[in-house]
Order: sequence, then C-alpha cells, then structure tokens
Amino acid sequence: MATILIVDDEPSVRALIRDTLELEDHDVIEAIDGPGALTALHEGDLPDCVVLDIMMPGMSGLDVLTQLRSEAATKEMPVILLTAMSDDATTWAGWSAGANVFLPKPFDPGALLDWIDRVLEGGGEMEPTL
Amino acid sequence: MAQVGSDLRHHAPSWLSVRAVVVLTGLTALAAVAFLALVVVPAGGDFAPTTWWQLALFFVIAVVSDVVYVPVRHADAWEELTFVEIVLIWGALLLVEPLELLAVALLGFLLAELLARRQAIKTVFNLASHAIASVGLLTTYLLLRGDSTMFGARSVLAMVLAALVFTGLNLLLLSFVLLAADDVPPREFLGEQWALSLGMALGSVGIATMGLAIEQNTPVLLPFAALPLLAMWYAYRASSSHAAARERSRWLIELGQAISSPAAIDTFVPQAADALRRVYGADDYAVVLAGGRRFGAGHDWAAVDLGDADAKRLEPGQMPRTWARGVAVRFEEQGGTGVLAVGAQIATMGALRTPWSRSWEISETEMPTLVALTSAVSSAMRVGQSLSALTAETAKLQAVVDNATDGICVVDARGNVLLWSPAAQAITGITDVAAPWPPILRSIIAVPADTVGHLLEFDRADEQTVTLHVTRVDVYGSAATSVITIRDMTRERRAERLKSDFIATISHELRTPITPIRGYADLLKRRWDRMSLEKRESVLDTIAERADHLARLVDDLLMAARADTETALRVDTATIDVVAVANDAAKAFPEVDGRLRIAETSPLLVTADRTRVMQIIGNLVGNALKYTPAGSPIDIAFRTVDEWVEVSVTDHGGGIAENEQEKVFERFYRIEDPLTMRTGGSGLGLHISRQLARAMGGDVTLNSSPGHGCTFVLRLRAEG
Repeated sequence: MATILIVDDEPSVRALIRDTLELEDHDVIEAIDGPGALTALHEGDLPDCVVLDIMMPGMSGLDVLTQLRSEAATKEMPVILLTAMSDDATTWAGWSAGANVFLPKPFDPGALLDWIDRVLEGGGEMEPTL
Repeated sequence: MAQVGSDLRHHAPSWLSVRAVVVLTGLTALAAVAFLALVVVPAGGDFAPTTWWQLALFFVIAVVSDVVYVPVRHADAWEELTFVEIVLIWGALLLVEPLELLAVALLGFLLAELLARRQAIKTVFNLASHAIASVGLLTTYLLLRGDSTMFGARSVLAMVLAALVFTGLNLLLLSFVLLAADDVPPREFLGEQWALSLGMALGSVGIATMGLAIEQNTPVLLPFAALPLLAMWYAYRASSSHAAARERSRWLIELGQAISSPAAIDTFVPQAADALRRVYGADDYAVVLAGGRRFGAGHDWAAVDLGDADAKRLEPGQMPRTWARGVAVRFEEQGGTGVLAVGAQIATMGALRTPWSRSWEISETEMPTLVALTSAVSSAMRVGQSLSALTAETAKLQAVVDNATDGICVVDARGNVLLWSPAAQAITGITDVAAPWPPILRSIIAVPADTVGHLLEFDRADEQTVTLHVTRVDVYGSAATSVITIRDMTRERRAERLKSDFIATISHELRTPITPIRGYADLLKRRWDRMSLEKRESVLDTIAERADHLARLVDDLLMAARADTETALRVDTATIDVVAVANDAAKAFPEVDGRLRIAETSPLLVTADRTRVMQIIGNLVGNALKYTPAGSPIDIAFRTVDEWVEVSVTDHGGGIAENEQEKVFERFYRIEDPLTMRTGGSGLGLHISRQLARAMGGDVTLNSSPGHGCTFVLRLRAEG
C-alpha cells in the first residue's frame, strides 16, 4: 500500500480521487493548490506518488512539477498529471516538465489506479501521444 | 462746358448720396444767384441796354451750344462736353445785365435738356451746376474788369480768369456727383480732365472774343467765326474717341484675364459677360445657356432664335423689358447653343420712364469682333465646365478616400507615397509619410504586388498592438502605381483570441464537473460492494450536484449566445422589491455567512424580472467572493437616484485596472491566464448580467481603482 499526494483545487475531483484510492487501501494526503503541495512535500513524509492537476489558481501544476524536478528528494518522484486542458501545447508542456503520466479529465478511476500501480512498480513511462 | 450724363446705375452706392449732392448743388446755386443779384450787380455799374433780338440770339446760341455735345465716358458715367460758356462770355463782354443774361442762358439750357429728354435729376443737377459756374464767371469778370473797355487788356485777362473759374467749378461739381454715383475718385477724374478742360476754357474765350470782335466790326464775316468752333468740336470728338478706346482696352484686358482663368460657371459667366458689355459700352447683358440657365438681365427674356445667324440686332419685344436696344450673339456650349445679348437700358427714374438720350449702337464693323469675343468666352466656359466636372469627380473620390474605414495608400513606381488617407493615418498613427519612414510604413510598402490579406503586427505609438491586413494591387498604366489598402484587424484578432481562450476555458469548465460524474459512476460500478451505504449516498449527491452545475453552465452559454442576437433575451418585468430579492440571492451562498453584509433598508420597488435580478446579484456576489481573499467582507447596499434604484456590490479585493474595466463586460473576457486562473467560470457572468440588466431598461456598471476593491452597480428603473 502506498501514500499518494493529491493536488487539485476542485473539491469534488479531490474527493473522487481520494475515494478511488482509499477503496484500494492507499493512504491519501490532499493539497488544494501548488504552494500547499510543496509544503506537504517539504514538511511531511515523502509520498510514493503525486497526482497533480495543472489548472490551479496562483501556481499551476506545471510550476509545481518543475519545482519537484529541481529538488533532489523529489527528482525521481512519480507524478501523474491530470488536466482538463488536453490541447497539444499543454500536453507537450507537461511532458517537457517531466511528468510520468499525462491523464486528461474526465478520467476512468480504474485507469488511474492502473497507472499508479505501474509507476509504483517503477514501470515504464507512458509515451506522449500528440 | 460739361454736364454729367451718368446713368447712375452700376456702382451707385445709394440714391441718397447722389440726391444729397444734387440738393446741395441746387442750394449752392440759389445762394450764388442771390449773391450775384445783391452784391455783384449793384457794384457792376452801368450795363448796356439789351434789345429783345439780342436776348433771343443768346437764347438760341445757348440751346444750340448745349444740344451739340461730345460724350466722354468715365466708367459707367458719361460726361457731355458742350460750349455753353460762349453765351456767357459774349454777354459779359457786351455788359448785358448779368441777371437777364443768366436767366436767358439757363432757360436755353433748360430747353436743351428737355430736347435731349434727360432724366429730371440730371437736369436739376446740370442747371444748378451751370448756375453756380455761370455766377462764378460773371462775378469774376465784373469784379476784375474795372473800367477797361470791351477789348482792353484788363477786360480780356478778367475774361480768361472768369472762364477758368467757370471750368474749375464745373469740374469740381462733376467730380462730386461722379464720386457719389459711380465711385470715380475725384483725384483720378480731375487728373484726367484738367488739361482738356483748360484747353476748352481758353478755346471758348478765344472763339467768343473773336466772334464778338467780328460782330462789332464786320458782322458779315460772322459765319466764319463758326469755323474754329467746328475745329474745336472735332478736337473734342477725337479726344472722346481716344478716351473710349482707352476704356475699351481696359475692359478687353479684363475680359482676356477672365477668359484665361475660367472659374466655375456661376462666377465666370457674369464676370466675362460684364466685361464684354463694357467693351462695347453697353449698359447691360443677358446670357441664356443651352440648359436654360440665365445670367444678368435674362430672367424676363426668352432667348431669341438666331437661326443661322451668328449675331442679330434685337427688335422691341425680343429683348429684356428694361432694354431700349440690344444685340444678341449665338455661341456653342456643352449640350447646345447659348445666346448672349448686350444692350442699352431704358433709363428709369422712379415712376418716370424716358428713353435714354444716348443712341447706343454696335456698328456693323464691330459685329464680327463681338461674335469672336463671345466665342472665346464660350470656349473658356466649356473649359470651366470640364474643370468643374473634374473637380466634382475629384471631390467624390476624395470623399471616398477620406471616409473609407480601410486605410488607402498609393505609391508610385519609384516608391513615393502619393496618397496616405486619413484612415491610414488613424490606423497606423503615422501622419507624416516623408522619409525616413517608420519601420511599419516600410513593411506596408514592401508588401509584394498582388498580395491579398498580408498580416502585419506592430506596436503603435499609443502602445496598442495593432494587427494590419494589407492588400496590394499594382495598376499598370501610363504611370505604374500601387494601391495598398490597410485594414485594422486588431478587434477581429482580439475577438479570435478571446474565442480561443474561451474554448480553452469552457472545455476546462465543462470537463471539471464531468470528471467526478464520470469517475464516481465508474467507481460505483467497480466497487459498489466495498462502499458503505453512506458513501454511496454521498457519492450520488455529488454526482447530482455536479450535474446541476453542468446544466447551469450550459444555460449560461446559451444565454450568452442569445444576448448577442439581441432579440431573444426575454425578461418578464413586474413590480418587485429589490431588497428582498437581494436577500434571497444571498441565501445561495450559505458557506460565506458573515462575509456578506447586506444593508438594512426598507423595501424598494422596481420594475424588473425577479429571476433575472436574482441571477445578476448572484453573479456579482459570486464574483466578489471568488476574486477577494477569504474573510474580507462583501457589502450590498441600496440607494435611489432620480428614477433609478441602484444595488451596489462592493468588495475589498485588489480592484481592476482602468483599462480592464470595460473589458470585463465583454463576452468570454477573463483577466487571468486560463492556465493559472484562480477561479472557475466561463467569462460570461458579467457579460450576461449586463445584457440582462439592459434588457430590463437598466445597466450594470463598475467603479474600481487598483488596490481599493470594486463596486459593481446594478441600476434598475424605480416603480412609478
């Protein structure tokens, strides 16, 4: 069982991901925005994986990801990017910033769980589909 | 010696001033005669007894000398040179009783005036000025002669001086009346006339004294005394012709100048025709163009048909009613044949109507020149017509260039900017197209030939980024030029950007509620058995709530689409209490209890649609909550201004910059970058709110300054 950090400003989306993960007996940490996510990562135990929304007020998910990749502790941390913006430019920006998986909203909770399992096993990264 | 024959028409400043001169002259004449009777006659001593035949002879000579005259022209006035002073000189030398002599002479002049059928006012002036000049002559002679005999040196010298006084007074009075009637400057008139008048005065003295000497010694030779008189008369005639020729030359030059620079028809025709009638000494002109337009005296005149003739003397009934004589000339013009006529007027004076004394005529030898000059005038007129047609055409094109919303630039083959329209100036902010060109002008001109819709973007001097759509067409002709049209596409480009931002935003906004709906549906299906009953219920509530949110979003979109077609925004107005509606709207935000402060006010009735007002206030409050820090208060207040009720929603957030304040009401407009925006929303709320308020006859406006929060004001029409 793993500890997973969920970062999304939309309460109903956070609730869905939490419910999905908890039903599979994962531990869940929540943050409602970018700065909150960085605080959780810096101050608590490191999670095994981060599920990160891109469009958030103030600091976007891409900014958070760039920050994670620049720090030694989180450099290799598996990150699944979630976004309602699935245009080419955003997808490319996500891959460039170092996302392991890029999952467009709305997503299938089963697919999310599969991806979490794969990244936790150190499995291959998803190829970008442009 | 001279009389005035001014016809007092063309430049007369006013009748009053001429009358004033005549009245003044008359009064002076009475005073002069009184002076002669009371002072000079008693001092003059013994006068020779007169016989009736002597007086009769004087009378006849007076009449004849006044009837035989030489006309001399001064502008539009005619001076008529006569030999009237001969009678006076003769009578004075014979020592005829001065008052008798004066009376006989004046009676003779009066008869002459009547025979010549002169105007009453001229007759009065001529008689009065004669009286003054005659009294001057008689007084000078009688006072200076002393005891000298008739042909004594002193007597002859006195007579010469007396004749000069006569001439001088006459000239002076004439100059006054010419000034009053025709604006002829006295200096100019006197300068032209003094030599001729001096010669006439001396000639008159000579003829009169010689005639008298012959009469005294050998009366049988008296008829020969008329020979020098005849010679002098011819000399005057020659002088008069000379003056007329000078006048004609002057007007020919004026006519030439008019022809060489043809103006618009309205100016040119009167100017040229007036010069033409002056060349021929006519009083008036009339022009009827082929199209029926008339100038001058043509208004009561149907142009005569000249048939094949180029020119024709007009019969009574064929010319303007005011004319006594006239000549018409045919000329060709655009679209047909026009007729120009010049003629002499019937002189009129008040109710009196008398034929003009001058027998004006254009001789057969002058006819061809009149035809030729008229033809020159008509050619110039055609040039003028073509010019004005061209001017009108140019003005039309100019209006198109000036008023086209697209900028127009014309460049010649060597790259010179020939035209840079006002719209081009406004769009680019460049008014001066002289080299060196600013970069954007270089780019515009460098657009290749036959390019349609080349896009250029630049930062204008007013710091706006402007998008141009440049089309260039090259015209190959006698001079190769390029016509470049410049369309300002800034608004369109901005609208496109807003639209693509909107699509990004709306896809985010639609996917956000769909994510939990879709996700929970899958989860329920996959893990139904592992979920508690409470969990299942809470999950289904979330699905229902998100589905509602989605439906509201779609409603907003539809309404925004309708708001722009203007017709379909339906509002059902009724009388409602806006305070109560605002309180109801606030209940939709239970989680912010405490932040929302609503002013306590007695009911305020407005004419509006309750649902729409709830929607607008909900939008404004929702915005205020979204864009301000947690915990900061939102105030709803009410006030009445004239026939309006205003509901204001004030937040204490960061405020909105002035250049954004109108944009926030635009469709899809969002201040934030979609990637990092803090809040959801379609960018439609304020747009819809304003459209709804306007549909109810009100409005939504914004007052804000950065750092001091925003106040959105909903204005509705107060009931009653």
